[in-house]
Amino acid sequence: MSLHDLPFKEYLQILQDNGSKEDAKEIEKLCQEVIAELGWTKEQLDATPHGNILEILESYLANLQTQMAVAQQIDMPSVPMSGMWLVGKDIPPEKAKQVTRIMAQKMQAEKERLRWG
Amino acid sequence: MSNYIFPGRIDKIEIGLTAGTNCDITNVITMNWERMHDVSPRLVASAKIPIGWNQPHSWIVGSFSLLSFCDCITNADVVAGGGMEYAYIPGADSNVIDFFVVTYRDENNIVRTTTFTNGIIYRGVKELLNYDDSIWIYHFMAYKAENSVDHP
Repeated sequence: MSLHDLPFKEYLQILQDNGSKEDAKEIEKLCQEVIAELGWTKEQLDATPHGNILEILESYLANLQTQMAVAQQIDMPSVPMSGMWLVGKDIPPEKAKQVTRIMAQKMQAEKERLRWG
Repeated sequence: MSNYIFPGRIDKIEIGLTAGTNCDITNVITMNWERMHDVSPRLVASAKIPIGWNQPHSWIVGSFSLLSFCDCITNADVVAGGGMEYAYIPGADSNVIDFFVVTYRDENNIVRTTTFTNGIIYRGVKELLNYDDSIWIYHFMAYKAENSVDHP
């Protein structure tokens, strides 16, 4: 059996036994988040080969980074927003974000148009 | 007035003659306004009399977007006396609105209002968001925006 195929629980034990307790703690903490996300049980996690867990972790982190990048694009209009901004009471957040972005661009253009000169 | 973004939501925009005689616009998506200086009155093409002509060229400039077309803007009388005078008439002069108020909630769900004095809706456009969806956008100006409660 290669190290890659070692069940995750045993792999963590090896890390701890060999003086990498900090690493083991970090990995275990991250895995708790992943199993919460995937809906796994602790037993499933312990029994899965650690190589597979590492692949899942990599893909999980990559997804997380993509989600954050998308959220930033949605939340931050590329033009400055000043003054008072309000959203209607029954407007879903996604719609509000989409329209706010458009309105921020419109207002920027409008202010340029109205500027004396 | 500097930068305020309230997490609360708009209940309605009212336009009309008085607090008792007006039309409610409830399908508002967003609304924004701020005071802007050095505004050129020449460019307010729809204004019958350029609002604030003899004022310093400093006005409230804003816009609001609606989910769907609202009759109030083109069908409600907004000038006391005379016949029916509408806030916005596509392709013609707009009228200065006698009563123009937005009602919204602050972050603690307390109702607040902002009243726009001598407001005028000077441009309306229908904008496509995508092939299935569109919004109506109206730009407006006003002498001033008075808040029911002073913002911090």
